[in-house]
Amino acid sequence: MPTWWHGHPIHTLANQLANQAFPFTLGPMAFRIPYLVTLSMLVSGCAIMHATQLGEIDSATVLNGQPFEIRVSELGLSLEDAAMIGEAVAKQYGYGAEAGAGGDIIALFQTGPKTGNPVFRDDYTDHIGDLLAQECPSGKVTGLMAIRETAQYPVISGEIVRLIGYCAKD
Amino acid sequence: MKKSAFLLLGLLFSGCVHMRSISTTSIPAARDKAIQAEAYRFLFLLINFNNQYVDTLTRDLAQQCPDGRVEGILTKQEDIVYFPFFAHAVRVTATGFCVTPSSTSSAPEPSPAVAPAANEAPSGDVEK
Amino acid sequence: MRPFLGSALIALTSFGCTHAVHLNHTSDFRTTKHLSEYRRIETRSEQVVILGIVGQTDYADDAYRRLMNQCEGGHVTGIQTRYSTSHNFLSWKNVVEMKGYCSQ
Repeated sequence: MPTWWHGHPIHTLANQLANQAFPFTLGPMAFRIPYLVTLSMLVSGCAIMHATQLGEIDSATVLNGQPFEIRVSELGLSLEDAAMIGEAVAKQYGYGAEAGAGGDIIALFQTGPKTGNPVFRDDYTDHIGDLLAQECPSGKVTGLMAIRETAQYPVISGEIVRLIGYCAKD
Repeated sequence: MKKSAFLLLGLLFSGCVHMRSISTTSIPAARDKAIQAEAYRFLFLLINFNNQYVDTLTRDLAQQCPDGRVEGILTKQEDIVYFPFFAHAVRVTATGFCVTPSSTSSAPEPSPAVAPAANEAPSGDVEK
Repeated sequence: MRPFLGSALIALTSFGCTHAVHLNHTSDFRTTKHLSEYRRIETRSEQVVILGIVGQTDYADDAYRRLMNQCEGGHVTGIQTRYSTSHNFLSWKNVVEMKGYCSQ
């Protein structure tokens, strides 16, 4: 490993996360495994399903009709992850406690139930009805499946609502 | 001191009800007969081995409306906290309307038909 | 200490409060005519919760009832239900919005 890497914030963060997630290691070579696993987790994405609802199905329309999919999404921000990274970086400069306090204050302003990561506007799904009317102006819609999911990445996420259905051909 | 604080907080948050999910189906024009069914499960230490208790909802509604269709079903799932961590419950309620052929004799029944027309602006209200 | 508290306050005022959309459900469509011939109706109910202490979820039933009241004698179809929470300082606001097509 180059010498500049050992002081890099991502290296420090990955080490701290690895130590917290995997406190028990089995010797000098084993420490690399949790470190690599944690690093790979930081750069990977994850799809999370929160809710799925299925409506009435008219089999003839589903088999012969036109499928459509509507997808709306908004950027979600995990302030816990951001605060953790900020605290890890601030610790390098001796301000870890202050950064933690700042993160706690921000968290107090975001009290409440959450599904996925919080977003900064709650009306990003309001135009789904208009999109559906565009996809199927006749209104002969069946087999509607509504999915609420999250595409999870480190710190940020995509908060997604998908609507899949079938429109009868005129 | 810690035990009394825990007890006090537990009593403060007991009886809290939070909604988990809500959904509704198309609402009929005939709304003379409202019916309701409920599925309830008490959770000790948040331990739950299956969710089969909700399977009876559909049958319960159908039994209240033996000669018709159940429409306009509002399904609501709630989490109830009796004492944090130790005593919780899940309640799923389904309320709807029983639509029988006699109740729909005056109200128009939907049938498939298509006719293009201009868009209209939505109307609505807000209550806090 | 002050720079970080100041940064926290700046972050709060810059980003604003956060929200969480829990679900967005669309009901079945029982249509007798083109969608554009229906009257769009919508309703919104809110419930403020402080410190998580709340004893009922009647706001959801209120939204449902007021949606029906906007379409007396008609049927409502294609109902889109959105349940979300707007976060705030040690409190939050639960919101249920329902939109549908009314045929009268």
